Amino acid sequence: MRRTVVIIAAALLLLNSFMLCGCYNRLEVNNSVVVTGYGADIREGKNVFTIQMALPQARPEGGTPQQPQSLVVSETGYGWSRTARKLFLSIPRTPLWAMATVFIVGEDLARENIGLITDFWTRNRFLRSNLILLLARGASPEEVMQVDMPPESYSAIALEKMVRTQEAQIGIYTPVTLGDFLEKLASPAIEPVIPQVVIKTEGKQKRLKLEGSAVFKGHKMVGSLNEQETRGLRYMSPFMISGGLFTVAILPNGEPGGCCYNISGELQAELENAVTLELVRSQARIEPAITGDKIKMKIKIEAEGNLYEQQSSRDFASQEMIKKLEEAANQAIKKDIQACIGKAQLLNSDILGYGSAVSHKFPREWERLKTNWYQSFSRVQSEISVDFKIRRSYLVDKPFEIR
Amino acid sequence: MKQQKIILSNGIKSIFRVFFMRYLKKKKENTGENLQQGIRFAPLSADLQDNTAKLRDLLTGCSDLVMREFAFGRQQETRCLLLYFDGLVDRPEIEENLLRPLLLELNMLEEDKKTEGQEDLVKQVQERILAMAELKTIETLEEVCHHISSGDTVLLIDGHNRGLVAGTRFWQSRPIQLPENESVIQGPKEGFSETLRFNTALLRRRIKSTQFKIETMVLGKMTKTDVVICYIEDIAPPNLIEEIKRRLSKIEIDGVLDPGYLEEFLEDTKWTIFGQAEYTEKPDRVCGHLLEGRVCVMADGSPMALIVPVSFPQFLLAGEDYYQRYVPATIYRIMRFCAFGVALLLPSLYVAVISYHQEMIPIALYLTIAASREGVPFPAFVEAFIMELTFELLREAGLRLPRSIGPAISIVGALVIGDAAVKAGLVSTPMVVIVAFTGIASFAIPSYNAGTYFRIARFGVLLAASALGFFGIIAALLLLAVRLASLTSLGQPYLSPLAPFNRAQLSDVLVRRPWPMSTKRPYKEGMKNQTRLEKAPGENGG
Repeated sequence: MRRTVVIIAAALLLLNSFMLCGCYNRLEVNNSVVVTGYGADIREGKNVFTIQMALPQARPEGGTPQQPQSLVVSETGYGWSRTARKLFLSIPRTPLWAMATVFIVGEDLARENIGLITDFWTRNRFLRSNLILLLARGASPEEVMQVDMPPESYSAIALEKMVRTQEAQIGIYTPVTLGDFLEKLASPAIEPVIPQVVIKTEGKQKRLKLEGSAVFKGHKMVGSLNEQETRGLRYMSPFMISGGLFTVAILPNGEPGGCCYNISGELQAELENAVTLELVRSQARIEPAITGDKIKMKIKIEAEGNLYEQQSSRDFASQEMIKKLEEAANQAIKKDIQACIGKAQLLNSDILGYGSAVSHKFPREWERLKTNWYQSFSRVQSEISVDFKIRRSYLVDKPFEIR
Repeated sequence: MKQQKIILSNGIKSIFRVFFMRYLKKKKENTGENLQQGIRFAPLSADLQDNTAKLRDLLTGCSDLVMREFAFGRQQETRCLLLYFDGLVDRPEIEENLLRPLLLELNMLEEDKKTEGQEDLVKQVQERILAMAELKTIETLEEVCHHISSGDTVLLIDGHNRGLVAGTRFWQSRPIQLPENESVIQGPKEGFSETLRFNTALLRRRIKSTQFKIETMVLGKMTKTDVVICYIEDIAPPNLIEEIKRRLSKIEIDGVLDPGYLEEFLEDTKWTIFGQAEYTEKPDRVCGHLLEGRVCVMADGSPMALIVPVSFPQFLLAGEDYYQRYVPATIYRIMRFCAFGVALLLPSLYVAVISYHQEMIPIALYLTIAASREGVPFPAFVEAFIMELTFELLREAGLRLPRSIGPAISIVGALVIGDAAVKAGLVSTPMVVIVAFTGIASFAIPSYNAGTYFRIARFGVLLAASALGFFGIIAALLLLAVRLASLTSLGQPYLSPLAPFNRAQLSDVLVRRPWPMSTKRPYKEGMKNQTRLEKAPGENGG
């Protein structure tokens, strides 16, 4: 009897302690609000921290749910975390920080010193390292997040999806996560880039668009790559890339040519001459060679793709024409890469990873080179060879002919 | 004794009187019982008058008793007494095969008596007069009582201190029906009924081997219930059978109405929510278990058969698995394993995720949940508890409802709980979905009892999850795993073949091994005959 009482009492105590000790950082859904994206910028010497929140909307009885709304709130102050916490002064609920997918860096912050925020990024446990990083070009992060992006309800999520889907569809920007960015930032042998987002205004309609990439060097953003240069950078990625379309020009005589690019890196050619190719996979190999004082990079690209579209009724199906197409593709890819290298050397920022290539192959020389790497970098010569193979032409092998 | 009582009732220590009274009363009852026991175990006397008096004494108040006195012999000189309980016997048979021969064929007997001299009358009646299949002699009053209450008929003849028992048991019984709680699509559809003999016959019909043993025990001081232990010699380990018999023989209970009474006596560990036996009311399932070396215990008066020893994975295997082709059987079995996981964990996972680990779920899903929880007044775990309890309540109420009220409760359950509560904003829709899904999953566990154990365990996990999130779930699961691993069912580890790990046997747990590949039975210590399939068939079949 006594024993039973003791056992029951012990069990009750144990149960009690469960209720008392527990519930640490329990957060009810009703007391929280989802953060979809962050923005960080500096304005007039102060930190500006912006969040976009998704407002839950009670589903009306039987009806279609209302258009979900987002709320963008900013706060200014000193210190990122404290500025972020100051948001509690105007928000009654706890933001679920970790749900955010995008971090938008303001151009002012990037140009001033990105190092201001790196500690916040690495130390704060609410930030996931797979946040997608974007740079707001020509507008503040707050303005970017305020733009509606139908059909998406929240522009931050729209941006995240855009960055991810464009890679497979058009193949220009490589999504950069916070982790990747910090890794490159911490390495002396490579510099990071992040895609830029701009606001395009058409009449009253505002939309967000990805345009160019911001190039960093050390603490600062030093410039931007245009589309062509960004594409070139993507070809030089040490990882296998896949997806994307690019256009080559084939002159009526069958020779590749007419590939001139305008200022924003778009191909300029007669419409009939433009042939669109699809990139299925591409792998770059960068091999440095050091002869005396000279550093030379041998860049080898092996790529495969398909014939995706043409606007003339020329027949490209023959072996000979396929060869020509491949040659044109080689040239186009090479041009993209050259444009990228040119820009990188112009900005004198090693976004190409030349430094890391050298450090892997010639660790001893790298020890000597790394202190004054940027003196050498701008003089590094590049030798590009591209081998593009066309595999398929999808549903037709003879072009459509109008008779 | 009486004096003592008087002294005490007049006595001084009135405070302790109650206790002493109880003590005395108990004492007295005991002596009374002993007295009756004395009569009970007394041998039959040769004097029929004496026997009749004693029996009348023992059986007073038994209004269903029939005592038929008659006499036979040329001068009606031999008096006899026929005893049976009305309603338990086949009356036409008694009339045809007991009374008629005794009353009409006495001449023959008398003739014989003349020619062969004084031979034992009881023996003659037994051997030559009565046309009964089951007939034996008895010598004590106790046996008389036992046999008549089992439905046999007892014949006492004056001048002989032995009686004759004729097997005349016959009563109305539920016919063999579809087992209500274990319906199958494929496979035998018979179910046990309440009469033990019919049930053992159903088993014997399936296992036509003399190695199939049905050992009987009588348990229950009052009920004198026949309990059988069925096993197949050579397959069931002998020490297991010995242990079962030993544990059963130690039971001194007044009554056994269902093998459920016996389960707790057979268990190795009592203080646990996990039962260590399995029940079925399908003879084919029992036979399946017997062929794997397990033992079945059945009690008269219940259609349930108790199977021991069991292991936990066995609860998730349906008998039907073995009748279906192995491909669907395996897929459905894996599905059942998943359902088990859902039944145990889903509400806890939901609560843990939405109150601690919001970042674990995709943003779109979270927003949907958040939208439906907007305005719900309770924290998620309170909501979960309320809904889970409601579900259990509905289940429990539905179980015992008279059939005519059944639809009413389901309407109340579905409308009030499912719809009105959500519309009123008391619970959120995802919670209803979660509870419904969990409920359905818990009934996908083939063994109803096992489903109960894990529904109870679910509440523990839910409590841990609501206090500590995923950490709590993991802690609860660890505790559960440790507990399950520490249990044994009659010496067999509860988690076998998972722990201790046995790869060979595991192939009939995670998947249903195709029959042509099942050459061995799941091995048990002491099993003699492990061969299930003599020779794997050659390629010629394909």
